[in-house]
Order: sequence, then structure tokens, then C-alpha cells
Amino acid sequence: MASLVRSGSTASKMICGSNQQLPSNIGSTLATAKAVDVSSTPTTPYAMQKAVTVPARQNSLFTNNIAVKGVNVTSRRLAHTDVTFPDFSKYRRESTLDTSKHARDTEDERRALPVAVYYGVGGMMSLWAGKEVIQTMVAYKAMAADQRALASIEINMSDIPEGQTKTFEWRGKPVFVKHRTKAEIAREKAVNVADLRHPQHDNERVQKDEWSVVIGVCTHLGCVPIANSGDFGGYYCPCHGSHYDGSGRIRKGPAPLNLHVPAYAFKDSSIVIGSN
Amino acid sequence: MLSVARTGVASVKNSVRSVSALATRDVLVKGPHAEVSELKNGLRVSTENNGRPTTTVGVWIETGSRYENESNNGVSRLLEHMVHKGTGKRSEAQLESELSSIGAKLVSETSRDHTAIFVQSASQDLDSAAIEGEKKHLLSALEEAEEDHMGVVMDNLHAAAFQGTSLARSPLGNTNGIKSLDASTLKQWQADHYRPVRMIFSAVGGVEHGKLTQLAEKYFGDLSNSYPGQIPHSDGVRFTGSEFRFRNDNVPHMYGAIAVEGVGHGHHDALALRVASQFVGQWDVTHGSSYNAPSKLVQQVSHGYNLHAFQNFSLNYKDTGLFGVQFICKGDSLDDATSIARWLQHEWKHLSSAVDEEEVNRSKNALRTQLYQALETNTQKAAFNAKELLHTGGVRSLVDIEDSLEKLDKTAVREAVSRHVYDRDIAASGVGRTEAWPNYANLRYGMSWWKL
Ligand code: FES
Repeated sequence: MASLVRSGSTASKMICGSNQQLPSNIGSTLATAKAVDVSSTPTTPYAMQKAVTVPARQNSLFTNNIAVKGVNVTSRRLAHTDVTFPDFSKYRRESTLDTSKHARDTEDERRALPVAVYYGVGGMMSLWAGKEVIQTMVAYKAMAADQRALASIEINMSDIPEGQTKTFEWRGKPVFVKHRTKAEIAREKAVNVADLRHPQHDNERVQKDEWSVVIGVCTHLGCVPIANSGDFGGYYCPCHGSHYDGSGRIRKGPAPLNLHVPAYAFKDSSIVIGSN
Repeated sequence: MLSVARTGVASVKNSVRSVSALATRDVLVKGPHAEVSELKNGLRVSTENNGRPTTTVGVWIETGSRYENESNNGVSRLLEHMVHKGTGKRSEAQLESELSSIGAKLVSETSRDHTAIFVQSASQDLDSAAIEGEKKHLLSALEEAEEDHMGVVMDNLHAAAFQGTSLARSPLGNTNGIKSLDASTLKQWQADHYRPVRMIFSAVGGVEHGKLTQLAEKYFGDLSNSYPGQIPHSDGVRFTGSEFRFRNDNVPHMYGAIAVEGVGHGHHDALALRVASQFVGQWDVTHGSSYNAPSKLVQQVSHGYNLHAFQNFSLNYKDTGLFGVQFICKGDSLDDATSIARWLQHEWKHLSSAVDEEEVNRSKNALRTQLYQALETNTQKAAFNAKELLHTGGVRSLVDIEDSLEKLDKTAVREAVSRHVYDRDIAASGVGRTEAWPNYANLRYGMSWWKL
């Protein structure tokens, strides 16, 4: 049951549906009423829909169980210039409300938050990443953990009785700490420096006369000498027979130099090796 | 060996190019130049004597849909059309016969920011029967314009990009606006807009500047600059990143355009953006090239994505513009549409950061061809001179343009594109099968290499 009514450039199709057979006169009544309704050429889609829906409101005039719905299938299209672009002013930032301002002039302001987030969070993240990189590099290049732990060692002086030499490990190397007796001190002080292969006076090698601290690595080929032995009352390297005296100076054998003296300092009752 | 050969070819190409560039300049230097003078009432007269047997004389008026509002949208076009209807001194038939007896034509057009009337000046008396007839004509033209899908795309693009400003309005007018126009509105409009300071009298062809200035003095000299009504005001240049889709599956394809805010006619980046636009290029299915095209974009999008055509554009109004690309594709696949847009944006981004001298030179040459070809006829040149005068206050000669084009290098193009295109808001407009239109946020995301 459908009728097509034309009016001017507008065509409307009305579809009537019912759950029972319509009396034939009702259909024609609707169609007639319709033709009158749309003769005023509605111009908006809403008005067109309204025009064809009018008979439905008169529903009760005809019968109780008829549903009439007008479907606007107008063939008249609106021109694209008739479409009004919605006004989004309500959603705009205040800076873009002025239409005479170029968008690029307000851009900095509008982008302030993302830019702040970008440089703020991004900056923090890159700082953190930079820190990570540097830390990793330094950790990689730095001394091994066991060595770093022994960067400086503290030796309790009361542990070493007079006349004794003790060996400690410092930065992976043995260190001899010798608690010298009066006789030993006198002997080493009396050595004629001119006779030495590596001329150093005992005063240059000790801080306190009672204590001689040297690194226990033979200057010949790197063996570890034996403390309290050798011909000069100091150290003896068994590898090729180098003799060092009580100040760690080379006196006999192939080694070219005296034993090295590490940096050390006295602190209360202890010697700290590895610090000045 | 191969590289040696290649260098050889490149240097030959370079030398050929510089020779041709020199030739262009030489030809242009010898060419005619525009002479500009101003009448007492502010009307500017520009003539260019190229010694040709034909001449275009016209008046360009700073009016158009930019100055209209919702209720009188279409008035500038209607007024422009009324010119054809004759004047108080001459009827329509008389006008036509007089013009045709000297072999002349009356042509006119209205755009968003100017109206041009060639050959004959505007009428002073408006006959209301003629107005009604012309209104019918405009309404049916408006209906016909619906079939020009790309035209609709561009109108919708303006409606979205310049929403809330008068640039959004189409010169075609809207139905209610045209219907409501009457003689008094037209008269008012004419009184407000057709004022000497807003008018350029431009002629190109076999004309003497002095003679034309005399004629202008005679016919336009009595126009006064006083404004009984209001000084026309164009409302706004604000660009808004936005999208306008008009889905109509009865249209067989997806028509679309994507654009960023461009620059005004006299802006120092205008030329660089036109070169950039040429770099993007244009293509349609009838072109012989695809994989072998000189443009990288064409190589990428001409196959596999059901693209039918694309075309760059760089529109310059007085103080703003639109820079973008329009395209037609099948519109049945979101992936295809998105890929097309992505490749396009890739080219824009390439332009902003990595375009090389070779590519810029190719685009410059393409622009030269397009530019000088489009200025070959008297009418085109007269329009160009008038537009220059209206928008920049002076007329650049083609030599000036050639010089600034010659100076333009990859850095200038990169900078212009970085300023105006890279990571800028976009306006998009789609008509037809737009179900598969790419998501706006996604498109916006594609405007920079990476984005937060
Ligand atoms: S290593 Fe000590 S003597 Fe050779």
C-alpha cells in the first residue's frame, strides 16, 4: 500500500502498513490528505518528513489498529552549500575563537601542554637514559668489584710485632709491611747510596722509620719475593735470585729496580694502604 | 666505470638545464612589462602591451563570497551575472550585438575573493525581471554543481577548514541566499564593493598605457570612493583542522582532498610551496607511467591501491591559502585509502627534510611549464596582473618570478614545507563512497615522522 505524491520539485513516497486489510476508502483518504499536505513544498528534510507523517497523527480518526508511517523519499536534494557546517565554538580553546587570527599564531599556546609533556617527560627519560649509559660505561671500565673493595686496606699496626714482616693483599698484589727493629733501621740508614744499583736513601722510602711498606712484586720478572730472607735481611726472590734489603732496595741479582712503595698513610693505630 | 658514466650523464643534464633556464630568462626579459598607474579616485590601471592583435580589457574587483554572509551568499555571483544583462545605456541584445560586431566576448567569473568582468564594466541599473531570471539560472547551476563531485569536495574542504569564517562560503551561493536576493541587495552590494580602491582596470594585448588610462579616466573617473554603506569586511582567516565527509554510495568513487593551511598570494613562501606542490605532482589512470614515473609518489600509489587520479593544489587567497592534494579512488578498502594518504604524507615529510637539489630542479621546471603556459593568453595575463595588484599592491614581472624561482633551492623548499606542512593540522573532505575514509587522528598522526 503506497502512494507517490509529487509537488513541485519535491516527491514524497508514503508507505502505509497495517496488521489487517484496510478498507479501500481509507487508503484513498490518506492519499488525498497527503497530497494537500505537501503542496506547500517543504524545504528541509525535517519538514518533508513531517509533512508525510501527518496522517499518522490522525490515526485514531480512522481505526484503532492501523499504523501509518510516512517515509520521506524525496528526490530533491539539498545543495551542498545549503549544509551548515556545525559551530564548534563551544569546544574551542579560547585562543582559537578569534577568526581573524591565523591558526599558526595560536599554535604555540595550543601545543604548550603536549610540548611540555614531550620535553618534560621526554627530557626526564633521556636524562635517565643518559645516566644509565654513563653509569654502565663507567662500571664496565672501572676496577673489578673485588679490587674496588680493596682499593685501600687498613692494617692494624699492633698485629705486626717488631722484627716481623706480614703480607697483605692489596689491589690483587701482595704488600709487605715490615715492622723494623732499631738495628735494622740503623743498618738501612747507613747504606752508602752511591753503591746502590737503584740509588735511593732509606728516608725516601719510609714515612716512619719503624715501618717499611713495599709492594711484593719482584721488579725483575714479577715473582713474589719471600719476606725475611736473602743476604740483606730483607726479601729474596726465588725465581732468579734477587736479593732486597730491609728497605726493599735491590742489592743483588738480576732485578733492576727497588721494590715499589705504594701510597700509604698512618691513621691512629693503623696503616691505610692506597691513600695518601 | 658505471659511476663515471653516471656522473657524465648528470653533468650533461645539468648543463642542458642551465642553458634552458637561461633561455627562459632571456625570453622573459625581452617580453612586455606591465605598466601601472593610479587614477585620482584610487582606481589602478595596469596595462601590458605585447603588440598582439587582440586585447583583453577587464575590471577586477575585490569582492566575492568572502565578503558575503549566510543570508546573502551568492550575491557577488548574481551581480556578476547581471552584467551580461545589459545596462541602462544598452539592452542585453544591444550589448551582445555591439560586442559581437567588433568580435568581442564578455566573460566574467567570481571566486572566493574576487570578481572579474572582462571587456565591459558593471551595470548601474538593475531590472528585477532580469534578476529573477538570473536567480533561476544560478539555482539550476547550483543543482548542476552537485554533479561536479570534486567541486563539492573543494567547497566542503573550505567549509571545514575555514569553518566560522567567510572563506567557508562557496561563490555558488546557497539556495535560500540566492532566493532572498533582490534588486536593493544587489544595489547595496554594488555600492559597497564596486569602489575604485577595490578595482583594478587591467589590460593585456595591443594597448597603449596612456590611451587606456584616458579611457579609464573617462569611464571610471566619476566613481567616488565614499562609502555610503559599510566598508566590506572579510571575516576571518582562521584555519581549523577538521574533516567533512559527505557519504553518498550512489556516487561510484571516493572523492577526497587533504590539505593544510597554505599561505597568502604575496607570502614569501608562496613560490616554494608551489614548487613543493609540483613535486607531489599529479597523475591519473590515463597516464602511461606508473612504476617508471619520475615522481616517487606516482611510482608508489599508481598501482595496487585502486587510485584513479590525484592532483596537487596550492591555493593562495589574499592572506591565507590551502595546500594539499585531491584524489579519486575506488573507495572500497580502508587499507587502500589509508595507504594512499600515507604515501602522500610521506612525500610531504620527505619534502620537509630530505628533498634534494635534483628533485627541486625537476619540480621547478614542472612549475615553469605550468606557470608560463597558464599565462600565455591575454586574458590569463590580464587576470594575473590584476590579481598581483589586488593582493600585493604591485605587479611582479615574469622575470622577477623567474629570478626568484631560480634562487629557490632545496633549503628554501625544505624550510617552507617544514613551516607550513610538516606536523600541521589538516583539513580533509570526502564525497561519495567515504565509508572507507581514513581515520582523522590517524591521518593527523601521519603528518610528522613520529608524534607524541
Ligand atoms: S723474578 Fe725475581 S729475580 Fe727474577
